[in-house]
Amino acid sequence: MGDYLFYGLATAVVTFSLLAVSLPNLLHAAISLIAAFFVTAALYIMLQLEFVALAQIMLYIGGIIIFMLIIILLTTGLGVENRLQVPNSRRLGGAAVSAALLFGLLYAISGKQSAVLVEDVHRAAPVTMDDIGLRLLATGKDGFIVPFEIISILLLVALVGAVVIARRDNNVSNSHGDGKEESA
Amino acid sequence: MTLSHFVILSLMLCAVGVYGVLTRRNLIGILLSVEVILNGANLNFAAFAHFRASDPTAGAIFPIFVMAVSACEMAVALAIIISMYRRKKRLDVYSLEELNG
Amino acid sequence: MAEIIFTHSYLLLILPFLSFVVIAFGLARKYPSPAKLDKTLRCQDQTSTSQKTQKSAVDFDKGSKLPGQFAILMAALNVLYSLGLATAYYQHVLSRPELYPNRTLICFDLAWLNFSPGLTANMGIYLDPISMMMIVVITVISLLVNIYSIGYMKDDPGFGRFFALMSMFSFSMLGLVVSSNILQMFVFWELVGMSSYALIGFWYEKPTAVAASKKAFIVTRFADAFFLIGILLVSFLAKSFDFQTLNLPETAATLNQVILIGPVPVNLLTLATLLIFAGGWGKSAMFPLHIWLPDAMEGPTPVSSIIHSATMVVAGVFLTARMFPLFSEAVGTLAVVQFIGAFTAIFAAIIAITQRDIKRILAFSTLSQLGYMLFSLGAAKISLGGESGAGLNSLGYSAAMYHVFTHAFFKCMLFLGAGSLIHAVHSNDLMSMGGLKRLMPKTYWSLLAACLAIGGIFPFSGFWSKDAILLAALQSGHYITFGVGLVTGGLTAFYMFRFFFLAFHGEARSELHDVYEDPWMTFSIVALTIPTLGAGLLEHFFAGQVVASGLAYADHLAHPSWLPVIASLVGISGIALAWWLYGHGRTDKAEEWRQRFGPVYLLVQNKFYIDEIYLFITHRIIFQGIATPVKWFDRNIVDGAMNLCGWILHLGGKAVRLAQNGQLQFYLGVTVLGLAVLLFLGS
Repeated sequence: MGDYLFYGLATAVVTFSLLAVSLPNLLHAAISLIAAFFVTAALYIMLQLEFVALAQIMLYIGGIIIFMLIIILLTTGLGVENRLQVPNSRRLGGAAVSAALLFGLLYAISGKQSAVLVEDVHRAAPVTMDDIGLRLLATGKDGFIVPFEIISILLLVALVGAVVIARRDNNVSNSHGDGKEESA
Repeated sequence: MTLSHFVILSLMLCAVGVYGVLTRRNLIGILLSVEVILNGANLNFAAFAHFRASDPTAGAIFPIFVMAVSACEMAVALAIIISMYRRKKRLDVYSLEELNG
Repeated sequence: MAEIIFTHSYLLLILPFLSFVVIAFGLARKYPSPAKLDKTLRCQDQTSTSQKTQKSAVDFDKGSKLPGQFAILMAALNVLYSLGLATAYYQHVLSRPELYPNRTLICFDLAWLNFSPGLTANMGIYLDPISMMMIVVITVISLLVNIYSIGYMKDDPGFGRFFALMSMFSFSMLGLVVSSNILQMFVFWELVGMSSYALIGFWYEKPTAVAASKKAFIVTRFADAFFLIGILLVSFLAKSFDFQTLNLPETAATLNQVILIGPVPVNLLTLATLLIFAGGWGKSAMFPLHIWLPDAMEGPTPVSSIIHSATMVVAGVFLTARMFPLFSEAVGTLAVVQFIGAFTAIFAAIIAITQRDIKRILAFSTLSQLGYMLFSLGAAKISLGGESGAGLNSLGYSAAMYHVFTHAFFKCMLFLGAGSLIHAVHSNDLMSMGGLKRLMPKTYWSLLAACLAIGGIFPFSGFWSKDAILLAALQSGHYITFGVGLVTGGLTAFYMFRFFFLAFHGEARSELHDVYEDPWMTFSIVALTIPTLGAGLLEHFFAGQVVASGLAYADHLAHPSWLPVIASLVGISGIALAWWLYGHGRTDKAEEWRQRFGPVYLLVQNKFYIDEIYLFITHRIIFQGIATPVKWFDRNIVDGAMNLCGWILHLGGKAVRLAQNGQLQFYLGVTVLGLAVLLFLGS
């Protein structure tokens, strides 16, 4: 029973991801990515990592992809970009490279010398939120306090940086705007 | 539902994401594909956390860190995209050839 | 006292070198001659005399003669030192044969280059009779020529440069004669060649002068290549460069073996000595390498007088004399020297009869006299009698060096006189002179003395030295060479007096104006009459003391008393013939004889077309046949290979540049592909 659920969820996530990378309309692509994220959350729950599923939904779907949707709407005129064509040779090349990567990775981890895929006999206990919280703030060898603090600084830096980069320069305004872009 | 299944699934997601990065013509499309790759990587972490019982909590914390970093990255990347859109009025990656040699 | 003089004998070389440095880098720059600004005041070309509008006796301000005066000062100091050295040598060495059986004194000998534990090149000063004599000759002539040059080069823009180069030459020549080992001599040999090149090409704007200087340098350099090979051969086998070691009989014994070069058996000693002699062959302008000496007359006349008559060209004779013990042990080398010397003597004398340019006449005369010196050295080997070593005539050696001594003075005077004549008529051509006896009396009488000396008339110096040479040839039993020498003596007298009569007697053959005798020039010419007259007194000194020591000489050689009579008769008959043809400066009789000999005369006047043969060989055979294919090979194949490397890299660069197209996705794709490859390779 679990297997069929897994296969279904796996198919769903792969399909939605494929749609996300190949739909020409960006809005449609973003929506299918949202769907892929939902199914991934379901997979996390299957792995008995509920907190991660929760974080996935809140952070990815509730934050990142919303932000992307806003930018898509701001820059691409409702996301319809059907004019741009990708040549087939480029698609074929991309497919070949990613297939090479896939098979390379599979080959690397499934070789006879590799002990990566050896599982343990007992399954792990489900991870509770208390554990995660305690580990996040724990000092010492197994503690994640330092990365935690660094991540908070990183978030601050990214916040400030994004504002600085996206700021409109008052001197070089869009007054000499349209002339330049036609030549590109 | 063994570890191998999950690993193969995550690797396929990564491959799909790589295909998208190499193929998409729009800059935001490339960012969407990068998200797909990160998604697959998170799934990999979680799978290993579940099936190898040595330290599952760490396996749960890492995806959270990845998500946080991904959020920062998206913020900065989208800010760059906005300023590029202001300069060039289009986001076609084929025309961004100024660093060629 | 003598010790101090010997210890500081390096001053002999330092003084002229210092003079060169100070003049070249200081005085010539600070005090340029006023003629530098006015280039029309050069009257050495044989062009119109109308450009000479003012007297060149204008005395420019004192400052600009300073290079010349400084050079004279240093030369005078040098003369004083060399005379002091000669006196000390005489008292200390020659008067004490029990202490110095070899009559050689090494003042100092410092190690310079250490090639290997067994072979070291030193730097040292070596005094023996011939080097002492040469030191005196060089310094005295250098002083007199420097004095002369102040008058001669007065109007020349290169006034300062001239004296610097003359000092350089003095330094090089002195270094050559006092060298204690053959490598040091080679160094100075090349320095002398370089000074000669600089001085022949002194008027570097004249293309003929430039060509002549190149020719001189290339021909002597060609000969020096063989010289160097000879040096290397000898020093390698003898394990030393020193003259004292090389002249020992042990060295000759070491070298005296027969080796096979390919299929040809060659005596190593003969080969080595012939190679060493090749240096002298070129430098002393023996046939067929004589071609540079007539052309070297393109240089200013003081240069010709010191370099190409008195000192540099006798370097070959000097070398042969220095290496005489080794040469005498070799089979055949001295015979080659003798043959070449005799042939050159008569060859040059025949050509000199027909020349019209007075400097060319004197150049061929120098060639002829050099031939005399060399065949005298060669004639030191007695041809009757036994094996080598037992049959040596010491007179051959001393007669050759005596002739070097006397020839230096009278030939120098002849060239200086010719320079005066050229200055007077602004032309080198004999046919535009004439009737100068009344206008230049001091020059007339001095040159008469010189011509009588070179003609070998008693009691001038040339008589004694030529007589000694002929006696040596006769005593050693080389009758053919003796005959050649006798005939050449007659020819010498003939052409010298042809020159003399045509230049001074009779009516002027061209427009003469402003003929005067410059005091500076005349002083030197008159001063040189003293050795011309008086060197005859030194004959016994030379025969007794100037010998190579340590060799077995045959004694009790015949001394026929008819020899001086016959030699004088031959000389007088030459003068008489010249008087009959050219007396009172007329040329009609000579013209009629010339008509009779027609084509032969033309052949001789063009120096037997040897220059044309050389040009043919070099242009057709060497340039077109060898140099052009080699040049093609170098340009296209060697350079082509380098260009090919560059072209390949360029092409590679172009190919690699295609990968830098600025496309983001391309870069990412390549990165991922690389990762995949690593994964495949790594596992």
